[in-house]
Amino acid sequence: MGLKLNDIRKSFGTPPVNVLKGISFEIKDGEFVALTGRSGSGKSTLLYVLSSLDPPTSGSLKVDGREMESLAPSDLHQFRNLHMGFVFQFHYLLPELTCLENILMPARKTGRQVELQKDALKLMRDFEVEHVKDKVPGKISGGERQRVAIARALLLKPKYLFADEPTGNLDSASGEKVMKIFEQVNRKHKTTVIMVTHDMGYANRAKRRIGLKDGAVEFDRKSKDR
Amino acid sequence: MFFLAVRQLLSRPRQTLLALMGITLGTAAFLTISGIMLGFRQLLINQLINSTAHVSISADKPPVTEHSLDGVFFPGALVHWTVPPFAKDESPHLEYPQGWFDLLDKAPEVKAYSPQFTAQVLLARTKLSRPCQLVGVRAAKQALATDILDDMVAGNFMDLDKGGFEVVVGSGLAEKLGIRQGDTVNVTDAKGQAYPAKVAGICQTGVNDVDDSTAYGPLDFVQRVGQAPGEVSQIVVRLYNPDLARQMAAQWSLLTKEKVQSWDEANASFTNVFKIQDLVRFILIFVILVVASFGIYNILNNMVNQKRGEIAILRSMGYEEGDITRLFLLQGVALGALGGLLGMVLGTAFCLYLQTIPITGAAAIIKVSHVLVAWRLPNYIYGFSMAFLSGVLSGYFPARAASRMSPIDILRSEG
Ligand SMILES: Nc1ncnc2c1ncn2[C@@H]1O[C@H](COP(=O)(O)OP(=O)(O)OP(=O)(O)O)[C@@H](O)[C@H]1O
Ligand SMILES: [Mg+2]
Repeated sequence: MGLKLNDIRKSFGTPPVNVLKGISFEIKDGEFVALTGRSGSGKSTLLYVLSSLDPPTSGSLKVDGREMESLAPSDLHQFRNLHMGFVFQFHYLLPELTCLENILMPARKTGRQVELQKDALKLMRDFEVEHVKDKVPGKISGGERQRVAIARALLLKPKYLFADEPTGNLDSASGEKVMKIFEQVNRKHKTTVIMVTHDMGYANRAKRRIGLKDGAVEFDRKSKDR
Repeated sequence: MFFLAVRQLLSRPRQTLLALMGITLGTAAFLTISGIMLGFRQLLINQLINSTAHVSISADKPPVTEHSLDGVFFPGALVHWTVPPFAKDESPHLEYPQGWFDLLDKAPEVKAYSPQFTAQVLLARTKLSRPCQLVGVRAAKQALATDILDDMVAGNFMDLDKGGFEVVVGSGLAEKLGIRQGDTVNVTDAKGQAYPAKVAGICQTGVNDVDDSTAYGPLDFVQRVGQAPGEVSQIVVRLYNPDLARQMAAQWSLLTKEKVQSWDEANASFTNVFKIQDLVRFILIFVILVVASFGIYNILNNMVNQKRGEIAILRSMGYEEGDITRLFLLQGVALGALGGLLGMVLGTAFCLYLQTIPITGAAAIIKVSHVLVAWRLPNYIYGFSMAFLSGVLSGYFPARAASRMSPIDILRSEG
């Protein structure tokens, strides 16, 4: 099934500035894709469109065979809640809540926060942040925050994980941990990972790399070794 | 979202407390002021009803003018007076009291009534004398139609029905003339004729104007003093439900030329003061709560702006616009509701405390021993509703703004 894009275009403002200029490709379930390109090439814009946060100006996006544009808003919200996880350059953790409560926020939407507490703790153990579960985000390190944010994105075992420069704010050791986590969920849970990154090292570890240039696909390669 | 709303409020204890205090104090101030105002007002009204009765029917003859005599001396002719007549009836009395008695006996709304005849006299003991309204009553009827028995400070009001010429004197008047129960006083009529009377008791309505100038006597004696045997100058009526006074008065005045007045019409100046007091009271709470609302609005608005990123991530997790609206609206509502509740508690506590404060020295119009507080449910309902409403309103606008933010725009501007 996966994600299928057909001639996606996106423009902003009047007169319209074309940011995405006709993008078509398909991402199959279980892929690990790195989106690369220079600053301003449209990576974030494409990621938002892919994740149905932002509708395209024209073109079609099919997720699991369903045309996203035809979905009712409430179905779209539910779909995102259950099947999509997001990680951004900033962690956006809620400062009033403990890390554990933060991770459980997606479950709270459907009232399953108690039921999923064990899963949350397991994720924290896997990501080596169990020791901060009762701390508020303001009292832990940047790397720990980002891993808590990833745990939050993965709590409901989404089919798709969207990440926009998840290592952008991290030192190399923390960045490496994040990368390891992504590879692990991709391998173990067959989660489709789509990651925007500037870091060529990380990009090269992805199974597939899509390069953008001025709003169009410049290259689309699969790695040979993995 | 309630969970998160509460946590967000608790994470800013100082701001929350400040906002809460505004609402609480506003509500408490309203309840306290209302309680005291209405407490004293109720006392005043009771005294007024007591002294004027629920409805009073009194003779009110217009002055005699040249037109009053049209057609009397020269029927059909146009009369020119060299000196036009102008005069007022000397002893105003009801035209046909028995008709009123029959009507009042039958009316189901009427609890009791008391016919009265009032004469202007001089009350004298030794060399001191004072002008006085001597109200002639049948004690048994007067006791049912007014609260006079509760107002007795000495003696027995019912003694007026014993058959002798006895009087019950207002406390202020008694004090000024040095009269005690059992004394004998001289009642002097307008023509200078003096009648000795025994003081059967002293009464105190609490309304100084009344207590300083009123005495009660048996109806037939007062009629004799006023040289108006058998006449009745007014009837005071007590209803089962005082709120019907105005309606009954209006109904009865259609039947007659006499003046029929409800207690609130008779004291229209007070009623007007009450209206102004109420207006001031409501404006006061309104202003306080508007200020408090602005405080909450400000806090929530700042919070919404600080939390743009978090709003975006919640949206990306599948939380909907409605959830975001609820998140901030709930905080306003929580502040309003909690502030309203605390305000009711604080206001009640304050009123309870005020009730214990004794008033020393004579109050201007009314004698009371303590600060009076009225406990009225509508005040509580109104106070709480206003607090709640200000919470809702001050939460609504930031909440709506937050829900309308596009998560994409936020992510783009922050990331
Ligand atoms: N709302 C908008 N209105 C106008 N122009 C926009 C808007 N959003 C994005 N753009 C433009 O679209 C282009 C692509 O933006 P985008 O954020 O997708 O780039 P990016 O590849 O993610 O860059 P970076 O690596 O710096 O994050 C930029 O030139 C940007 O100015
Ligand atoms: Mg970007």
